[in-house]
Amino acid sequence: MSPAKGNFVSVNHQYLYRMLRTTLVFFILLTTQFLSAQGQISGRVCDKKGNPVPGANVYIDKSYDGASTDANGTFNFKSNTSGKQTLVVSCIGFVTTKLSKDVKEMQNLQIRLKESVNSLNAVMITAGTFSAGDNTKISVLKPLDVVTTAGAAGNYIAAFKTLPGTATVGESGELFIRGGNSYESQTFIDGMRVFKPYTASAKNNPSRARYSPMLFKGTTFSTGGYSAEYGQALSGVLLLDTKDTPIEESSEISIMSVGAGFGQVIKKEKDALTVNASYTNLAPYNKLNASKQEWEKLPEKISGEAVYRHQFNKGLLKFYTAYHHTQFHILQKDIDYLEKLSYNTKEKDLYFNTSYNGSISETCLLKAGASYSNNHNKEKIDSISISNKEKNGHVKFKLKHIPNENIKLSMGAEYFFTVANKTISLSNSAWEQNYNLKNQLAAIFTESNILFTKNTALTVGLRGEYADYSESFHLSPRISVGQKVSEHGQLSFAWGEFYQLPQNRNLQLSQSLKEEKSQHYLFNYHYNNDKRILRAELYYKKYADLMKYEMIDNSSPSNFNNTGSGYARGLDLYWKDEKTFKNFEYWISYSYLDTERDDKDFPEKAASNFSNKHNLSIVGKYWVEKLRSLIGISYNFASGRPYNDPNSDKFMSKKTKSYTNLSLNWSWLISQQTIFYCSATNILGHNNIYNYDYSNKPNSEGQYNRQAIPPDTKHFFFAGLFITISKNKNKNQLKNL
Amino acid sequence: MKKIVLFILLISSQILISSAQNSYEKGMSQALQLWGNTKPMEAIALFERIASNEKENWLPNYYIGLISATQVLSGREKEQASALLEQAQESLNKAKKQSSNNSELFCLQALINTAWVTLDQMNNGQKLSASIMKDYRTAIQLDTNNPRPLYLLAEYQINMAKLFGQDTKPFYEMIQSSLKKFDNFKAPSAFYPRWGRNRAEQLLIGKNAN
Repeated sequence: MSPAKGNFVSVNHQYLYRMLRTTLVFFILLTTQFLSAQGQISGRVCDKKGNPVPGANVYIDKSYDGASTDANGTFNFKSNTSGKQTLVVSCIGFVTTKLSKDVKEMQNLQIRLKESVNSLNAVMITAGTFSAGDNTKISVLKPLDVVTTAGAAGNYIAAFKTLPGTATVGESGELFIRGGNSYESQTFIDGMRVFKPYTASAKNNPSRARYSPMLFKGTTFSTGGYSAEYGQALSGVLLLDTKDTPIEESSEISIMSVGAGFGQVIKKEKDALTVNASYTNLAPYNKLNASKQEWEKLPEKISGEAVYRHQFNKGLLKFYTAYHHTQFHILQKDIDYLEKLSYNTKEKDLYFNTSYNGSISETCLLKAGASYSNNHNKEKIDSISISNKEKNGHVKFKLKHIPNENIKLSMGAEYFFTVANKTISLSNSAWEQNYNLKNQLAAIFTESNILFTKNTALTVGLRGEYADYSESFHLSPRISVGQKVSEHGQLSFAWGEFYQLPQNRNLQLSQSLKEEKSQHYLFNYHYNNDKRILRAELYYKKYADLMKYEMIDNSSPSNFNNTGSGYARGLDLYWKDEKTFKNFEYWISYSYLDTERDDKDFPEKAASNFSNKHNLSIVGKYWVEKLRSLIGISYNFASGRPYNDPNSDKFMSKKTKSYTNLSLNWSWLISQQTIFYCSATNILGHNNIYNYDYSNKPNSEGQYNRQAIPPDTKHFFFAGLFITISKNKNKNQLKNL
Repeated sequence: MKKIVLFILLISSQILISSAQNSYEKGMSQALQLWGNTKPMEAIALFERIASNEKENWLPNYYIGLISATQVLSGREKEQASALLEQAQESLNKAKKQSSNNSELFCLQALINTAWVTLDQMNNGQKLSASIMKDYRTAIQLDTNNPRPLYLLAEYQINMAKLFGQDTKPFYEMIQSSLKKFDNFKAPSAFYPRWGRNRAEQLLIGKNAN
């Protein structure tokens, strides 16, 4: 052994010794620390009722110490933290709970978790409301249903007619809700009023919804008891929400049996523009399936729409504009004239709608918007020209404050204006008559939604409205309550007061009219479990101050007043099932309606012409995977509508025969880009009669003659090819990867 | 003596650092193991605990989202499917804040949306298909070496093509090239996603079996 080496060893020894001592001290230090800190943390997690919550995550915040609870809700783990710490308990479906305590005291803890309140489990007030959209909880229709429901053929109004609470009034095409006339419902796009929701149509020919269903991501259809945000509607509101920013650039082409359309989506980082143009003309179609009526010019429609969206950091701006030009010329038999009357109509409609939706702070949301409509309808009936010009505007601001997940407060103000001019003139004389109307309306509204627990919710709203025309101010209170009665079932009750001015064409004839009024009482049961929905709603609607007038010479109304009244009561049932049969979903709607009104020129209270006592809709859709096809079927039955036979002593005592219709449709996905769609109505060939027109004067035998109003054609067929070409810039690059 | 104190301080601080690192690594490996041992809920719970420590690290949140989405995609969770996917989206949103323009996160977004499609093919398919494909494409663009979005996009398109009776060949070529990328893939950090290779290979075997 060399001294050098020995020296090294001794040095090494020394080093080792020192090392040993240090580690020893260190270990002692460490272990004592460990011993003092390695505390046991234990306890049990349960829900409000004391039932164990298994699988909850229990841990010390900012440490890795923790465990999941077992089937009994108990947990037990060690932690080497010390002093005051925060224990976190989290579990899906519950509010995350935190507990600050000294670790030593974290033993045998009893932790009660509060169930979290979210759209999946909380009570939702469903009285009166049908929602079609992404919210699976209360949605009764999916956005796609509007297009794929047999008989609807892309007309969203027709799709809503398969829901309970709507009447079957075939010759109109408009929505008649719970014994209410069609003007008693209002349509809103992104919260802003739509003033002319239906396109012009010939007398006794159904009109269609003006706007393309493809524009909307969701719709809410309310048959009563709606929010204080919406006014000037006695019976119902239809809320349409336009789609948000599109995902990618694309072009759309549609070729239909009744026309063609083209659409283009242009997208930049934060901006997106969608433009659509369409042209429909029923003339070529009429050659294949001839109309019963005599058309000089079949309906021709040119329309263009554009949507621009800009994404701000804290909000989304949408700008929507649409232009529609409709034209037709028809020769129609009128019971009081020997020769057919010539109706030549041109309608131009321009509509703007802009809205901003954004957040001001974490808990505050702002919504602002404006809409403007300019409609010009020129009608020539033989030598009489009627020109109807209407300009309408709407501005709205709304603030929403959400201090926590249980409370939503909103308030807002809105302003409407109307300028309507009607001119009637004769082509071969200087005679001319003008009817003008100017009206402004201002309103404020406030609403509070309070969720007491996830089982009980309350909405209280108040709306104040001042109308320039009637120089009157009205307060409409609205209340609704929701209570969960079982895991999947809930009861709602709603009450509210609603005011609406009569239609512009009546306001033009009188200066003394005032608001009509209705009161709704709704009682609703809603059950939703695993793709099955059951709804039952009892309602009572009371009308007051309805417009009345006297008919002079059976043609011109006069002596307008608001002494009318009425009621509507009934039961609406809805059942939807997407579960029982594979690839098959169906829904059944039934409405029972009992209604009487004394309005317009009614001599007494009587059932109205636009009410069916029984209404039944059955809609089914079957997905055939092999054919990539969705086959739809819908059946509609409506009991007869009351009409007045002047030959009878009793007013409104007759009823039309019942109406039935069975429609079929087929949507075929040819490829990802191409869809073929076709549909046919009245497969069974039922001879439906919508209504009767009676002569104003009795014939030589003292009898009043009549003529039936049947559908224009027995069947309606539709076929279309819809092609989407997405502009995918990466598509070709992909193959090179 | 001074030196000893200094030494102890040095060592102990190092041990503390390494023990902190260890508990992250230990936690992550344990969580991944739990997932591997078909205890996904426990794995999610552990990842949640890790996420509460790792405020800057996107990986724990990424795995919470991934496990939740695959639970639904595999059809194992029916009752809680919507709640799980909402949890997945929430975790993904947190991860996106921790790491922007991350190819793996775009991949996860597409997976979550695919899970929504499996829940309601007819309605969600039409609504989400375009954005699923777009997210995969963005994921490929953000990291051309990432093999996952390539084979996932191919798988999605194969299913579509099969439904429409179209040629699937170009998509199998995409899977082939994804396998090459799997070979060359070097995870930039520990616990970085590495999954997918088996599935890609299975898809190719499935093709040959047909």
